[in-house]
Amino acid sequence: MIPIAGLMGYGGKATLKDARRITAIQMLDKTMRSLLSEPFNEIPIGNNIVKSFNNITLGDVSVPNGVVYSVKLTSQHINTAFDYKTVNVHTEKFNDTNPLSTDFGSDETLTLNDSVLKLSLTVSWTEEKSKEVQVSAITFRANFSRRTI
Amino acid sequence: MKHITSKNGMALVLAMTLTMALLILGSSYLKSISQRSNSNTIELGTIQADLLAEGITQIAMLKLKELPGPLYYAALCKAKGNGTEALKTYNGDSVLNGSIKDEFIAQYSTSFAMLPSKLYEDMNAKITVVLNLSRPDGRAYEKKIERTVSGARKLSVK
Repeated sequence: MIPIAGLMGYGGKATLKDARRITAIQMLDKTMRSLLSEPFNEIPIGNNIVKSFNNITLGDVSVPNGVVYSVKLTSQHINTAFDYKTVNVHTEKFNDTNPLSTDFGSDETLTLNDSVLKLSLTVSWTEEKSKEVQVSAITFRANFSRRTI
Repeated sequence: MKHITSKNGMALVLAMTLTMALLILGSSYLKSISQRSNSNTIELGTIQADLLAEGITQIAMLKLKELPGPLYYAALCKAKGNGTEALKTYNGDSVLNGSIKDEFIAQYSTSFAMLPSKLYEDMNAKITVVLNLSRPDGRAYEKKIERTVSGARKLSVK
């Protein structure tokens, strides 16, 4: 009977460990989805940001079961290069409804340096008194309000 | 030497049956615990894929916002059977077709197309992002996002 009781105890611990991990995953998902709808210019830039802003809660977050989660955001601009072929629409031969391959010019690249943010979010907590575990995710946020050239 | 009576034999059978029952109960309990942990891992992989695919879709939508004309003519050129090179160039960005090897491994590709509504009189573009992620449990997971963007088209002035 003693091993069975031990097994039950192990099961209870595993359930609580699962619950802590589920809370962390839900926190990660909720924070990232909020970041995707935050105004682009109000998202701070930097590594391991722990200062909350707008609807985004960062830093140490305590939950009712007593666990403290550390939520950190890393946000950096990435260079984006968009390739396309120019279209010679101002020539006499150009037919707007039937463009030919000869109507296209050279390959061009539109480079934007400050219009896309790479967002990395990490939620970490402590298991077994000293073992730090974490879950993380990555996404991108584009600036749709930038002035189009 | 002590003889085993039928009563002693019954006790042995009972003890073995009880032990077997406890063993089955215990092993199924352990199995359910390990499956629950596995489902957490699967959930994390799914969320990582969803969030990354959503971010790539945002970059694709930014490209469409910045460069709608080249897509329109490239797609129309292809639809009329006049060549695919321009559309191939438009679809070939490394930022929209690449991989992530940071906290997890994922490959993604993006394609732009025009929907032939009203014989291309309108600007109805479709963005498709396909992302393949290696989940923490080692299995592959595919996430596909299709987004249609509608808009009015301004005719070029000669």
